[in-house]
Amino acid sequence: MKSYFCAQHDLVAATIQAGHWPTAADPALRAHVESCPSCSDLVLVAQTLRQARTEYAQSARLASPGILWWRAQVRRRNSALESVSRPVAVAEGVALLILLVAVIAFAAWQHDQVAAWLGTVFGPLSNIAQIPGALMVGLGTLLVFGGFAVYLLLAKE
Amino acid sequence: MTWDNVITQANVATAEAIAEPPMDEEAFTAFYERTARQVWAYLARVSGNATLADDLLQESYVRFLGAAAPWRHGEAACRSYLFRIATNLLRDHWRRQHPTPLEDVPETALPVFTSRDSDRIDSQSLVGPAMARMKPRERQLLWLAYAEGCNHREIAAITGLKTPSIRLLLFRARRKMARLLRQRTLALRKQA
Repeated sequence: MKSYFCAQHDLVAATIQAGHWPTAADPALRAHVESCPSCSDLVLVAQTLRQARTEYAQSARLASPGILWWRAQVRRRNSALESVSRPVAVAEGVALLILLVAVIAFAAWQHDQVAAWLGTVFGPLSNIAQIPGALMVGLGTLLVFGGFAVYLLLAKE
Repeated sequence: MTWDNVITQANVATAEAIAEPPMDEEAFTAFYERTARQVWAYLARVSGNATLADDLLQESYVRFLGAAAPWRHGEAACRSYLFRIATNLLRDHWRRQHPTPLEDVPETALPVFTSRDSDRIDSQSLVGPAMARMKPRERQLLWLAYAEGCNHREIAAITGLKTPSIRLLLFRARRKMARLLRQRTLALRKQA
């Protein structure tokens, strides 16, 4: 396997990062860099990027830290409110579901009375009593759970 | 789950969320002034877009304040954490713009850093044209290693790469960058 890495690499890198290159660097290390292609690349790239970093950093136009602080606070509070309201929304949904199930169960159990009552309230629909109970329960379930799904979607929005 | 549990959890969440963050405003301001220019330079250089760097810089600090930043572990840890947030934002931005993974993008498809004072800077330092021909991952690695002075472990933490692979990736990127810098220098000398 070809060896890519020079043994002096870390020392050269540390010297550059410490800002000692080239004036305060060991002469032997400088001589090595002149003869080593890998370390020569390292010096060229590291020095160029260090210089570029200083120049780019000066051209940055920074927002006020106060504005960022305020934005972070607003976001934290919104997140807190959301986390508090989430369990309440879940409890609301569960309660509504239980209520709907109870209504369906009651309608199925007291099918004849419910149908008769509906017939007195809605005259033209008095023949509703002739609809089979199972079909009534199925339609009711579909209607109720469909409404519940719509409610959940709207609540999410 | 009982109502008592729900209410207790809600109260705990409220208390945690509304409680003051571990870093106060004064400490944040000082930290921001020490680090923001470096983070901006990193974002601008890797993205190739100064305006995008402005936006991502602000979002990075807002997320830094909103998250459980490792303030108690010292400034170096916070700085590393901040660079990681910035890197993730860059990656998310790139994913929204391009379905291709960051590593597979050809150099020619990347934006060249052109805005504000960058033309003057690039012409002075040669870095712009060379970096424009590097892949985003190569730009990240080179900038973190040599402009920011991060070690391989820190680079791995920031970029999500594995520490052992950093050395080889850096070697390749460095060799490519050095070749581009030398070519650019020769071209400028010929023009002169």
